[in-house]
Amino acid sequence: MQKTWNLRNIILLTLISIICGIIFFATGFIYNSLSLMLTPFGLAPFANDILIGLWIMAAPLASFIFKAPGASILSEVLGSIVEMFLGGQWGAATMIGGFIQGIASELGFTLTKYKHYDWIGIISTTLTTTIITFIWDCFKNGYSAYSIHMLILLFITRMISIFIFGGILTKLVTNMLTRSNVIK
Amino acid sequence: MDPALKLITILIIAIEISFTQNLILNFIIIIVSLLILILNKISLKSLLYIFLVPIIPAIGIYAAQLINGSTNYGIILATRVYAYVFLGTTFTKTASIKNLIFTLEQNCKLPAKFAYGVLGAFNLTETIRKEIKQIKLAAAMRNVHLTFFSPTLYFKSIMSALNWSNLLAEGMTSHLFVEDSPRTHFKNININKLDYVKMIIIIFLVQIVLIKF
Amino acid sequence: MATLTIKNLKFNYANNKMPIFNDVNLNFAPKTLSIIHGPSGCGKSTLLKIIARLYPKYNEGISSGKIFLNQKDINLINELSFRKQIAMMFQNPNQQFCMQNGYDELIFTMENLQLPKDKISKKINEAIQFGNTSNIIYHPFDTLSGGEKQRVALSIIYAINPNIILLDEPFASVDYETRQILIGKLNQLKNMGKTIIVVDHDLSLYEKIFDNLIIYNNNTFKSISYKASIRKFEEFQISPAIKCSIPNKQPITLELKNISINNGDKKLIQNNSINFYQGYTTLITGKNGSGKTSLFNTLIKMHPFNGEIRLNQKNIRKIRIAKYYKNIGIVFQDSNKQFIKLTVKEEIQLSIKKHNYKLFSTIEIDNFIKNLGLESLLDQVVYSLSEGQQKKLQILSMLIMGHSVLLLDEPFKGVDLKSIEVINDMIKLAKTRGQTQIIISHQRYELKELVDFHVTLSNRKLEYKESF
Repeated sequence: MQKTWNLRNIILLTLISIICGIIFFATGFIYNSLSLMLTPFGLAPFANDILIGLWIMAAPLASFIFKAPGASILSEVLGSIVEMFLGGQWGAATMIGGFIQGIASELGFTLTKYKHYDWIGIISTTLTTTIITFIWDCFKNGYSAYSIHMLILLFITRMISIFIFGGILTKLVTNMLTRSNVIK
Repeated sequence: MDPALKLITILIIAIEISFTQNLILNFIIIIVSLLILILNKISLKSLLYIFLVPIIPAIGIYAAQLINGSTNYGIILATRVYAYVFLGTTFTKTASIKNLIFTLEQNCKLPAKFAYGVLGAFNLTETIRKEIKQIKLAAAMRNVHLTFFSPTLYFKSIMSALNWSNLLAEGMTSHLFVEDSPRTHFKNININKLDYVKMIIIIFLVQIVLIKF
Repeated sequence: MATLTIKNLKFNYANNKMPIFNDVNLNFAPKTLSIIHGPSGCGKSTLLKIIARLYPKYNEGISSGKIFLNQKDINLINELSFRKQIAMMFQNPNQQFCMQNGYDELIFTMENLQLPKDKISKKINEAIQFGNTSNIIYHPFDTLSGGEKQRVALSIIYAINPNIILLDEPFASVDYETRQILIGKLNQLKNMGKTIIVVDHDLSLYEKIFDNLIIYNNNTFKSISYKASIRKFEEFQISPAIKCSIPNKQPITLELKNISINNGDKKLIQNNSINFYQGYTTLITGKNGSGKTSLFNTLIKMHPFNGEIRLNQKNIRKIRIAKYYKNIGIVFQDSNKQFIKLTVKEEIQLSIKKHNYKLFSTIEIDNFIKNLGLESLLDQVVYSLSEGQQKKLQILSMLIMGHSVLLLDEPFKGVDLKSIEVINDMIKLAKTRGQTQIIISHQRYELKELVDFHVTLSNRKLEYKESF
């Protein structure tokens, strides 16, 4: 892949974000029903944390495909601009969230010096994404007011979700792409 | 107002309401946004949509605070959800992605390959949506049901994205788009000084509300 | 004015030792129109894209040999000045626009050309006038038909004002009238001194304006004499009809009642009724852009329609999606879209495991694999196969599924003659075991043995005919 951020790859990166967005929005009803079920117990935030992995998936996916610095951030930032115009339901929060998630995921690859597009990279990016997005939600979604037990449970839920979607699923997808000689 | 400045203004406001707890500010944002949207002749359907879509998360977050946190905070969080959505809609209904990208290219030195690459990809959204639908259909005809959990769905979609990114890049190249080569502009987009003043006033007003109430 | 010369050109796709073509030596002079003609998969589009310097830029293949533009090696020309001299129109009208409408795309192109502001409006007006596109230039591309998009594309090419114009199957999704109009425009451009090179598998309407016919033969492209060309054109136009019968009270599988199908604001089929019969193979033919593929998309519930369609007496609007796709299957024109798994073996095994109805025995399937030449490819990744190999695998996998109705969209595209026989045998065997088949194909001769009935789609009407 000659120069990483050439026209072709910029289009591809944006399309990957769009794909993840389209698949994510198709699960809207899962979020809604999950949220409705949990609301009477005051546990609706769990709906958010169960599905967050799917929401942030474009970032690790892009990093695994392009294996280059900036892939995570760019995919989230470009993706959030596009999603806002496509009518993403979170409006202005989409963009700030996108930026924060992009940095969070990118940091995991930076810490492993952009050399680990393997399980070490996955663990690293899962940790940075979980921690940073959790801190953001402490403010944005008022997690700071919850009891310590609920916070721990939310944190673990989030980590598992990010590991499953941003880690395992991403790895499976990139394995298929590697086997079909599309990426190296 | 220039789309880039408008975006910055909205992002600053959104960040501020994320880190502060001010019910009045949330309401002001919702009401002002609503007024702007009505003045811009938003359709009843879109209006209904932005009222209904945030309802489940707003109630969910409110109930969570009611039961596991603090009630007052719950109201702030629920109205905040609406404030985000109204702010975002105000932006998207009064600015187009095309104009945003144009001003970013001309005034913020965004490289043209990013500007037009993203715009081109954005205009492919419907095509990609159809391709994803077709991937699911091809699988269904083999009695395989692809969901958001299936690696195959992502794999096939990315294969299709790969194909389309090559095709579109070829198309743009043959319309003389050469990376890093200078281009002229048919429409010069200059940011009006008044727009800066507007932005500063809006942000200033937000600070006053935050301090006073 | 520009002359283009190709010397000893050869091209290999990545991961493929066999060159797709070899020893290509051609010359294109100003004020001429050349047609490159050959079966699908022979590499004619690839040749065009190499000339346009899009390959190997957007393809990881390897080319050797040289191409000269006015005696200068094209790879030594600065990219922008090269692009100003060569413009290209693509087969897929959707791939050539990054903006939302023709007007914006024209501006985008003129800005890339580095034209000053005041000259852009003038250029745009001239281009709109040339392409006769004033009524569609502001319309979003997704509301335009294939033909309208190609008219816009031609306007843009006019605005670029290149010396050489390349067209890659430009009329694949265009109706006959638009084809006529566009070929007329090409003639106009030719008379202005342009060098025009068209890749097309359909030769109709070029007869009066072409100067040079280039044919694919023995792994290379060669210009043939004027006399030989005229023979080729005649061959193309008058191929004798093959007799078939008109259905008569056979049991009905698919019943289309007063259906209308549109594509955007273009009417494709209007208030038409027709039946398809159980255990028979029906061929559907019609001009490019007449709506054959849209009809197939309608039958698989991917395209809206008015009227009623019944499958085994049941309204298809009332059949659940999952159940519907157990009964009706489609072999897509683009093989890549069909595959679910990674290797040839996995793909076949998936069908064996998930079939709806056991049409073939294990021994029969093994024989098909052998006869299609897929045996040595079992562990290969499906995406690394040639177009013909993909097609064979795709048809085999879909036949094994045992749908009661199977739609096949251009099933012989890129397939060699020997394999066509094997495919015919497979399809026939499936039919004798009860499958209903509907085929869209331009290759009538290859279908001789297979087709029972023939339906034409013309003037927005589907009709049974006695020959094809």
